[in-house]
Amino acid sequence: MPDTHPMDLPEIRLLIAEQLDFKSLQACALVCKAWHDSFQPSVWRAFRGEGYSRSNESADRRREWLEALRRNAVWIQHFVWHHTFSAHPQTVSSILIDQCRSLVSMYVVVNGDTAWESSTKLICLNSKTIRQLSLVLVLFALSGDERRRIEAWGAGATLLPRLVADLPSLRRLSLHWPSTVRFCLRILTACPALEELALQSDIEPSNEDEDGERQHQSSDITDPITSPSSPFSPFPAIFPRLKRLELRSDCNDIAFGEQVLARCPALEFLQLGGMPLPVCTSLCNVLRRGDCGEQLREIQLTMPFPHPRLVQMGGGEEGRVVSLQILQATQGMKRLRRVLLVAVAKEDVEVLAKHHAESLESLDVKFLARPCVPGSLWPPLRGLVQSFPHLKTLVVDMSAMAPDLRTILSTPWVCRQLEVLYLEVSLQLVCKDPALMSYAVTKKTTAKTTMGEAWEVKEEREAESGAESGADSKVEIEEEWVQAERVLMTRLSELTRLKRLRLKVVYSPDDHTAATRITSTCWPLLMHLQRLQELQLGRHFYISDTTDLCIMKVCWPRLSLMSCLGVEHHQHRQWMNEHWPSLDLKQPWW
Amino acid sequence: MPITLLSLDDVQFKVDKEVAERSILIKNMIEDVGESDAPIPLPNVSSSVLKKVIEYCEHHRNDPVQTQDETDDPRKRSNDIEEWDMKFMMVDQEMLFEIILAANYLDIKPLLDVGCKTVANIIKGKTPEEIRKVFNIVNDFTPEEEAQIKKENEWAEDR
Repeated sequence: MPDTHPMDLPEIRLLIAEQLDFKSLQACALVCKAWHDSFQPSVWRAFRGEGYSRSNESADRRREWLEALRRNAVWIQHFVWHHTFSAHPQTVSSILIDQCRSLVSMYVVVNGDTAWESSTKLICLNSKTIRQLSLVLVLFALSGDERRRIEAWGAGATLLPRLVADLPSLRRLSLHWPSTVRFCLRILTACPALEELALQSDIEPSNEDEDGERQHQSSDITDPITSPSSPFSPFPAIFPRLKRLELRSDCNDIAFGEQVLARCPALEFLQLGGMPLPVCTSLCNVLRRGDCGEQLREIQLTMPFPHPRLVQMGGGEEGRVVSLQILQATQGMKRLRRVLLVAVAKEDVEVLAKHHAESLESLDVKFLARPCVPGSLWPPLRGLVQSFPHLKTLVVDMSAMAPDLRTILSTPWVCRQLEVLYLEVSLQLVCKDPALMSYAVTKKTTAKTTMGEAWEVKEEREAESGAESGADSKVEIEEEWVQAERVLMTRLSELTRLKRLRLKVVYSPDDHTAATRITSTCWPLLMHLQRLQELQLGRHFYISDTTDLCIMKVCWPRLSLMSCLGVEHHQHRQWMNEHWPSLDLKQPWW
Repeated sequence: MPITLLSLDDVQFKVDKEVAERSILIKNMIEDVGESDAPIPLPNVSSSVLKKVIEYCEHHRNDPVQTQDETDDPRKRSNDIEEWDMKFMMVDQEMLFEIILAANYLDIKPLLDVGCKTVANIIKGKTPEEIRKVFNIVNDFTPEEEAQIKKENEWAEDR
């Protein structure tokens, strides 16, 4: 095809725009007029209204911002708008209402009738294109009476269902809105094509229905679906399109399991927050019966168990039961592959391993400080990774526990299949306690230590720990740091299938020097991880010159994201632009 | 049954039907005309480029066909380029652009995607002036227009 350049074709430029980051899009829009026409829509496809707050200090700047918005609002596809934080929301609203006709996603925070009116107008004008909608009702800044009025208005029975019923493309709805079981059913009935529903507020039982009809007394309900007098009978028997249900907060209505969950047989993702034991029991019954769960691929238990409120009330043990009950109810879920647990305990892992040891592919666990549980001496990782031989993704957050290196070094990283490893630990306590450091690092724990031997080393070390407790000089601690981190990096280097590695280690400021030195020099141990696509080792990972980058490029040909210090250096930037433009090099945020 | 493809410079290539049908254009032509021994003329593709395109289609002959959903939904699209594809695209810029044009003409979506990703990687991190140099583009903005766009786009926000 002589004389034609692909970049002369607008359709090719649009395809390339989809692959570019924001800064590159901005550059492309300035290349020439033809390119400007192709790339400018992508530069302005997202709008968060932050410019408005940035422009508060100067009237001229504010005018500039409004003018820029006026000229480009037509391109906006993704829209975030906080009515509460804007000085003149009506000006912006009118620009958007006049011009935006291709919104795909909207995140709107409303605080009353006026904000609601302009938001709904914008939603209706984009009703054919909106696929994702997030609505947040803000009550915190309101006075008592106003708050009650807005709350009652928000809880209006038909307000939201009427709105979403007119959005044929809507697939995801996220609500921070007063919620009840009946409210969920109304939303799902109004929008049968909905695939994802996220509820950010507590689900509370209500005694009186918003229409004036008597609401059920949840504990009296025995079999509401089949009972002709059930207040839930007008709703469809199932919602076959819903694949994702997220409860980000507490569920306090016992009817939720039977009335909502049981109507969702196609769920692939379920996120649950906190709940009292009776609610949990009812929900587990639904899961065990198989009304919902056969298609589940991922389950997330995100609220800390024991639930903080239960602990406050002296009911911590009840919280434990809740967590365990739900995991036990996953027994029949043959498709379950991914699990996220917050405040995980030994028993949780045992139950999970009993039912899903061979099939689990992804495990995301967050350990919380649990002084009330004797298992605080239990090394949380021990046995965890051994129990799931086919894990491909492991995310471990121990930052709230301030564990010592024993936790990591003494644990065999047996999941050789691991492709993703995100590890977050806080090592502050260790730094202040040389006895703990010496506990972990012995002459036997050399770089050649195999993973399987590690725990034995630890046990042996435990027996003779008394003899080592005198190692309290700073020099010795630094040496141990060097050795300990080298062992950790060597362990990681054995995971040859690894594609993504994120290691967030929070050090004590006292040991910053040692830690900086060792992480900088240890990265070559990871050189034969040829499949790496992401490498984030935090701000202790420092690139000193472009020779490092040359070596990295050869060793990690697939690397597309790396965070490290030293990258702000002009020389590095120039080298990257010329030789490795595909790598997204970022400043570490920890 | 093998299919014969005829390039711009009259070179014939014999390929398996399933390989040739990675191109939606060729697939539709075969469906419209019916199977025949006559070579399919591709007057927009030179032999050197067609050879590369056939190499790509041979390697990806068993790949599942992308559904419309996957191509539309950004969450289901990956920015990564597979290792083989990355090596395949290690050609001079002229050839890269020829491959993109051929993929566009022949309607081979995955090849077009890989080509565009490769060009995107060339663009990333460059200034407008550097991009103009790479693609040999003349700046047709007046300095005032350029300053205006630059100022205006400072207000745009990264997603």
